[in-house]
Order: sequence, then C-alpha cells, then structure tokens
Amino acid sequence: MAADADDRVLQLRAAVKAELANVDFVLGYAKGFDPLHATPVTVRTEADADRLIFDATCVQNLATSLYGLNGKRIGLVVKGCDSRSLIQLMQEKLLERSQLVIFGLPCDGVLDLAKIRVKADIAAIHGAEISGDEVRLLLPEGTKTLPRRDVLADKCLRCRYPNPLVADHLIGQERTPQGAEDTYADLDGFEKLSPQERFDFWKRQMSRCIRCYACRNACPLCVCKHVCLADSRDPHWLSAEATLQEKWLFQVMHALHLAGRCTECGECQRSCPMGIPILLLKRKMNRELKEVFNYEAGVDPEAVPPLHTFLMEEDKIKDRGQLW
Amino acid sequence: MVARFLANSALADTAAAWARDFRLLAPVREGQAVVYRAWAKDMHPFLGRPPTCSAKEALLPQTENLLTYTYRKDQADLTRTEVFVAEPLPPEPTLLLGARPCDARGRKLLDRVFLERGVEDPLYAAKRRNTLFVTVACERMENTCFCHWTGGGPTSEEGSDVLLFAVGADGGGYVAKALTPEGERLLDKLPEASRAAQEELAAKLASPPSQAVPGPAPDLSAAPERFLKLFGNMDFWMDESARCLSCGVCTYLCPACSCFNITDENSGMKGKRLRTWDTCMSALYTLEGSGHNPRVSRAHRLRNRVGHKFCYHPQEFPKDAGAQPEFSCTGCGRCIKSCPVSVDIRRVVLDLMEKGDAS
Repeated sequence: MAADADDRVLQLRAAVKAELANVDFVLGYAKGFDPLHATPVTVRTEADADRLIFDATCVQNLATSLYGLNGKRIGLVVKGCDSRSLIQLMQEKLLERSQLVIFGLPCDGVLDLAKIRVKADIAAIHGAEISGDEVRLLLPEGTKTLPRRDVLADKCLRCRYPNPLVADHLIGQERTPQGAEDTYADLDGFEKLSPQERFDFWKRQMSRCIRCYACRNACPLCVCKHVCLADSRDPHWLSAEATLQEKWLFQVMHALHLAGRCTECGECQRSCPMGIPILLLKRKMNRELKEVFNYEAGVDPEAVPPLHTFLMEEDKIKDRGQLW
Repeated sequence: MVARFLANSALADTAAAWARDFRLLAPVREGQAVVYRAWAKDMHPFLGRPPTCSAKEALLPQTENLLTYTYRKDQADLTRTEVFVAEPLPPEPTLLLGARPCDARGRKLLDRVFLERGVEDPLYAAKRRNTLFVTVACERMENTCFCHWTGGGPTSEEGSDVLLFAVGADGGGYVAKALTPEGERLLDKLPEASRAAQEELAAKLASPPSQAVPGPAPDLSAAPERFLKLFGNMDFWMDESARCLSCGVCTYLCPACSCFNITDENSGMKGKRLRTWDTCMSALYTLEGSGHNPRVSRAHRLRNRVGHKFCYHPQEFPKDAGAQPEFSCTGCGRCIKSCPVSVDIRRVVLDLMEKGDAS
C-alpha cells in the first residue's frame, strides 16, 4: 500500500512533467502548513511538479478552481468524486473536455479533520502517518493511533466511484468500490424529528453562520459565484443584515439550485469555518431526485440532468389530468 | 496590584456576576466551533481553545444599525415626502471573556483605523470606551499561530484589561492579573492567588510556551519594500492565489480586518441603514457602478489583503527607524486555520521576502 502510494506520486509527477508543454499549468496538491493539511498548488515547472503529493490529506475538490480559467488549457489532478464534478460541468456546457488534461487518481478515501478533532487535539500536531487501516498522529503529548475508517470523510465510507470516471492519465491501480447504495440513514434519522425540532436544529446551527460564503465558493457547481443573487442588490432578495432569516434563505437557495446537480463532494460542509452540517440539505435534494427521476449527478457524461429537460409524461410524477 | 485567583469551579458564578453589570460575551462550544454568545443562564464558558471567531465582534459587529428611517407622505401635498430618522441606542457596557492575547492586540489595530486617522468613528469610539477584555493567556502555540512574528506573544498584555493564566494549583483555575483600573474592579471580589498558584505561574512564565512548532520569527522589517517591488508581478500573485476561493473566511475571522459596507435596507416606507462587515476577497468589494472592477482577479484581491497588512498599514503608521514595523496582523492564524484551501499568509509573506529581494 505504502509502496504503491509512493510509486503513484512518482508516476503522477512524471505524467505531469510530460504534459507541462501542452498546458498553461497543472493544478494539483502539495504539502500544506502541517502534516494533516494539503494545499492546492499551481504547477508550471518541473521543480513545481516535484512538490506534488497525493494521499488522504488531499481533500479539496480542484474542479472548483476551474472557475474563471476559461480559455486556458489546464491540467487537473482529480479523485473519483472530483471527476463527477467535471462530468456535471461538462454536461452543463460550462467546461470543454478539450480544455482539460485530467490526471485521475484512484482514491482510498480522504480524512475528515472534523472527525479527527473530536478524538484528538491536532492544533499542534507535528507528524502523521497514514497507512491502510490506521492513522498515527504525532502529537506534543505523544502518539495517538486511530482506526482509519473512523476518520474518513462520510462520503468516502459510502463511495461507489473511487476511480475517476473521466481521465487522460489514470495513475495507480484501480480500487474496488467499498461503498454500497446510499441508504441515506443520516437523513432518515433526521427526518424522524418533528418539523419543529428540525427547524430548531437549523436555527441553532445557522445562528453561528458568518455569511463568509465559503460554502458557495468552495462548491464546484455554484457557478454564479459573485453574481449570486445572495449578493445582488437589484433584485434585492437578501439584505446585508446577518440575521437567521438571511442566512437560512441563502442555504435554501443553494440547496435548490444544486438539486440534480450536486455530486455530494462535500466541499460546502468541509469549508464551513463554523462547522454547520449543510451537506444534509443537499443530500435531501439528491434523495428526492433519485426517487423521482432515478438520477445521480455527474456519473454519465451523455446523460441530461432531469431538471435541465422535461418529459411530457414523467414516470413518477402523477399526472393531474388536463388542466385546460 | 494583587494577583487574584479564579477557580474553575467559580468561573460560571463569576461570569454570572459580571453579567449583572455588563453585556457579557463569553465563548461556548457549538459543534466544532467555539463562538462568543451573550450570557444566558446555565451557560458554560469554554476557555480551553482559542475561539473560532475573533473578538472584533464586540467592537465592530457584523451588523450594526446606524439609523432607522421612516418616510411619510404629506397628506396635504402628496408630492412631498418627509423622512424621520432615529439614531440607535448607545451601546451597553460590554465585557468580553475568553479572548486571546492576539485578539486583544487587535483592538489596538482597530483603534488605528477608527480613532487615529484624524476622524473619530463615533459608534466605534462609544463601544471601545465601554468594552473590557478579560483575556486568557496561551499556554502553547498552535501550528497556525505566529503572534511572535508581528510583535505579540502568547502572554502579551497589550489591549487586555485582565489577563488570566491557567494553573493547576488549588484545584485548577486561573491566576488573574488586572492590567487596568477597570480590570482591577472586575476582580475585587475574587480571592488572592495562593503562594502555590503564584509560584506555579512564575515557573510557567520563566519557560514560556515553545515556539518550536511554528518556528522562530523571521525578520520582516523589509516586508513593505519587498511588497512594493513585487506589486506589479502578476505571475507571482497568480501563483499565490490560484487556489484562493475568494470567500470571506480570512477577513471575517481576522481580529484586525476593519472593512465595512454601508447599505440601506428598505422595507416599504421604512428601513434601516446598516454597517456590515465587508471583505476585500470578494469581487464585489471594488466593483464600480460603471461595471469596471480594478481588482478583477483573485490575484489582485489576495495582493490587496497581504499588501494592506504588511505594507500599507506600516506605511500609514510608521515606527521609529530600526524598530519592527507595525503590521495590521496579530498573527492569530485564524485565516490559515479556517481557510478551506489552506492559503498560508506566512508563506505568502516569506515568498515576498525571498522573491522581492531577488527581483
């Protein structure tokens, strides 16, 4: 496993170097400020390419960074889940396949630092060793070992697409999908609560939102960015006031605008500095889409997202008869 | 001044007593975050970790009501409309519990902007005058901390009214040191710290928290010039910012960022004029009415954030020759810790120092 991982990074660097002449630059991952943080990096030279890494700390979805880079030819390092964002963007004609050189890396799952923080104080961590089934944290007070499965992102535990669905260079052995069909058990649990309890939950959670819009800007499919109607003064949907009402309205808009488009990469929730579980709202939309249209976003480049088209008669939407 | 003792077991009661005289803001855990909340019964202040948000909310709230207005049609002459304006109530005396030394130093940097530029901001001044900071000294530095780069330190007293030092003696609690007369009044009901507690504190202060994790402070005295040298090098700024998402995490969590927006929020014949936090990371920040945007890319915007903190501010408030410049950054590291893509302002500044020297 470790040997494969090292080989893979060397193969990745070699592949990136070979493509440098054909692209403006490559976006990949490099070591971040501490052992549990990777950071996206722009690769223009061979020396830059030698900084590339790929491991369980490479959490970011780099498809998000493609925003604003139209007209450039870009190399992009993607995991299986990230490749789904590319497919969705291509379906929506927001991205040209020919614009990209995709370095696809089959993925064993990425870490959820929020889960690690519950089990260990990692603010002063000075080393981390991630193996097939363990994460060893080198902390000031000593070493702490956690089962890897306990600290993987939820999306990884149910991942059915560890292998990139679209790639020019597939680097490393393909992984066998571990996840089963999504049962939405988390959503089921939440929906057992009464409407009042659910509303109280969201009021409590949203009250600490600071309206930084990291959730929106980290979303690879939130393509309006700064012409978002949350920022618009004309029409004036949201006021500048940091009230619960404004915060909540934005989250509802975000979820609705992503219905049938969201691939559940989880970047919105991961990016939230206040730890608000906003992915749950998108999962609710996705489950409805699955039930009504049997559709999963970002899987098939040829498919048309259900809310981008219509049928005269839908299989699962009851016809109310002629209304005229 | 006498060192006082605030036992862990007395923390909630002491906070409740303070809350009778002040609007008390105290940090509490909410999920993964530690946020300041107005005091409520049965609240458990959590002082174990630096709060997720900075303390600037107490002085520069995210939303501040500047005035409310009502329009009224003149019934005798409907072409005439009168407007009635009401000012907000003056701010209540406020006590902020649980800030860190980096936050307290942020007060000084906000003062520069709102009090020391020749024009005093009356709303800020009113809050500043009646807000007290009871600060918790840091026992260690985190990976994202760099207060020692910008003139601070884990036990810096600057900007605080009371500084609390955690000790294990006497069942655990804090040795409380008053730094201002107002701070001393806050502590007058607390017992004197025992000899054991004071000795423990003295021993701790003699061997301050290790700076080994974040590393020793570099010499940044040339940062303003290096920045100006690289100002026009857009390739440099492109590479530093390519991963930036243009969200507001860094600026909203920053104890020194002071930019705000003013908007009128109308609702029929009445409305409010608000001052709200603004962020120079947003494209809308410099978008002009004509549609032109002088800071059109993320590269331009990141350059502005770094430039303001490490060049324009020290140039506006110069120090004596030879002294370390005053940066508009307290080194709290929140912008690093909470950045979704781990943009590290320390790295940007070090790159500036390195590449600005070569070019």
